[in-house]
Amino acid sequence: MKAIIFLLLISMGSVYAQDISGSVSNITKLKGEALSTLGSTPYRAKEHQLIKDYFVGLMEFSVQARDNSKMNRRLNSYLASGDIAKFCSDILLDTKDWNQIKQNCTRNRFFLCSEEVNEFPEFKKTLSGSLSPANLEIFKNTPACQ
Amino acid sequence: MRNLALLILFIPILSWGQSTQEVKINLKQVVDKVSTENYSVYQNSLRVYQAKESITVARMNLLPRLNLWKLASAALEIFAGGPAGAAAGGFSIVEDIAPFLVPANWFRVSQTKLFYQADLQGYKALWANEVLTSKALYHHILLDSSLKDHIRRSQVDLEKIYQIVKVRETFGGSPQKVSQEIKIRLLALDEDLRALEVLISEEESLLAFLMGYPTGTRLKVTEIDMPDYDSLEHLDYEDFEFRAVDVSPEVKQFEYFIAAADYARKEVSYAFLGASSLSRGLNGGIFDNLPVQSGLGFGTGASIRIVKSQKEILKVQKKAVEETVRRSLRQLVNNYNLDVDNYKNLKARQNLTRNGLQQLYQRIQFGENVDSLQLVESSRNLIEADTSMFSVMFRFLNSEDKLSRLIFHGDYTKAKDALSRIQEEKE
Repeated sequence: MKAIIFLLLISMGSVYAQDISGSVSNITKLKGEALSTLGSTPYRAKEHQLIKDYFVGLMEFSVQARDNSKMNRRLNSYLASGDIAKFCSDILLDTKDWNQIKQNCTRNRFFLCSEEVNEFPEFKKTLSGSLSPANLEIFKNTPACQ
Repeated sequence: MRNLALLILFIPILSWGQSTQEVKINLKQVVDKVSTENYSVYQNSLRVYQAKESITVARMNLLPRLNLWKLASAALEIFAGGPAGAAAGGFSIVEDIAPFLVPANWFRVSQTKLFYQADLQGYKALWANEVLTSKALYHHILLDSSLKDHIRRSQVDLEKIYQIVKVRETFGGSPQKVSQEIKIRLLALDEDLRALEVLISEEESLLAFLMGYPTGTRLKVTEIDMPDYDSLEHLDYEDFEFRAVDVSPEVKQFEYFIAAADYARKEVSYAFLGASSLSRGLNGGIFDNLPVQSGLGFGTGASIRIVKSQKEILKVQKKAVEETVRRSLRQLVNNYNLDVDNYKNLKARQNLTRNGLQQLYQRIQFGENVDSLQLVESSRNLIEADTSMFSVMFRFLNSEDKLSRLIFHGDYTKAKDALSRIQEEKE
């Protein structure tokens, strides 16, 4: 009986991990699409939408990780057993690319992309705010997460 | 009695002091004052505050409520109605004792949150419109003041021409009717000047109202830095289209309404577990007429179809708003580009007419015989060219500001700060 319960818990844990890894791979895909716009200036509706989708995806992930206690637990256990550097490089843009996107978004002194682009540092802050002290410590010291 | 007499004596002095209060303002102050003091903006910010509080009301209403009469009648049913009465009495007070067991109440809470977000967007749109109107008024006051100065200068120039023509007429070098023409023109300029003074006064009064100043406050607007008109380039509609629609609070407001429609549908679907008596909040009126019946009845299917079609209506309205935003943007870009093209022409026209008049003056100074009608015509052309130039210059300012309003750029990024400032004061 104990063995069954144990197996059940293990399988539930792996379902949660799959849940997070599904979200992460979705954001990774969106990030790749956003990065693909770097060479397609001036941006038109299609490029704007791709960029927006990534930032909105990241925002929703961060907010859920902060506000949803289940999701928060799953994320922290996912990170505790995984590689935080890879997680960050998978879902977060590096500062150089973000600046490049912002530059491409500006024409005739007007900022023309979705407002979420400017809120990227806020999303990172929200994400780091949802981490357990141990994960946060690693997050802070990982260059890919900065 | 003596105090009353003193009061009567001082009231006119005090009111006179109020009516002549002069305030020097700049554009930044216009944005700040409209954000905090404008009557409509302030009212709307209070509505947002109410919507925010409505979320707390809806959440708290999920907790048990004390309704003594209902408890008493339920108790009567329980004790006097046998086993069936006990069950009926127990269930009848579920909505009061355990409102959280009624799913419709949870859906109402979710709707209240969405309506609060919709209210926030409504506030943002109204605030931006009031700021846009106030800034446009500010620009108009500057334009009309420039025109007024220009008319005064033109009067001085025409007066000179009038004197020259008068002398010529005296010596028979010019037909009599020319001086009359100039006099008529001078009188017309006088009328223009008076009309402009009244117009400026009305514009100042309206701006003072929009900024929340008491009636009678006289505003003195300070000059602004004009853009480098020679460096202005054509705008491309495609560049701005995404941003204008994406950031539009009017569109976002409908997105929240559409999201709320899903909860309204769930409310109908789960009505067999009880209907909610909680308010949806201030903006919830759009769903108030939907037929939500308490309990599962034969009309449930039709009710669901009505809610679905309500969602469709909202989608159509959202689409209409998006198209309106696009249309406004296209119109703005077309007019802006037209002005960019016309600016070069107008500048050339202004230089040519100025040089033409200058040459005529020089010829008069050298004693040449200049046709008086030509002189009058040249002066009129210069006045017209200058007036058109001023109008285009200020139209650029307004167009840029309208564009900033459409894409929420520059001053229009301050909506959040304006609201939080008002709400902080409230809390």
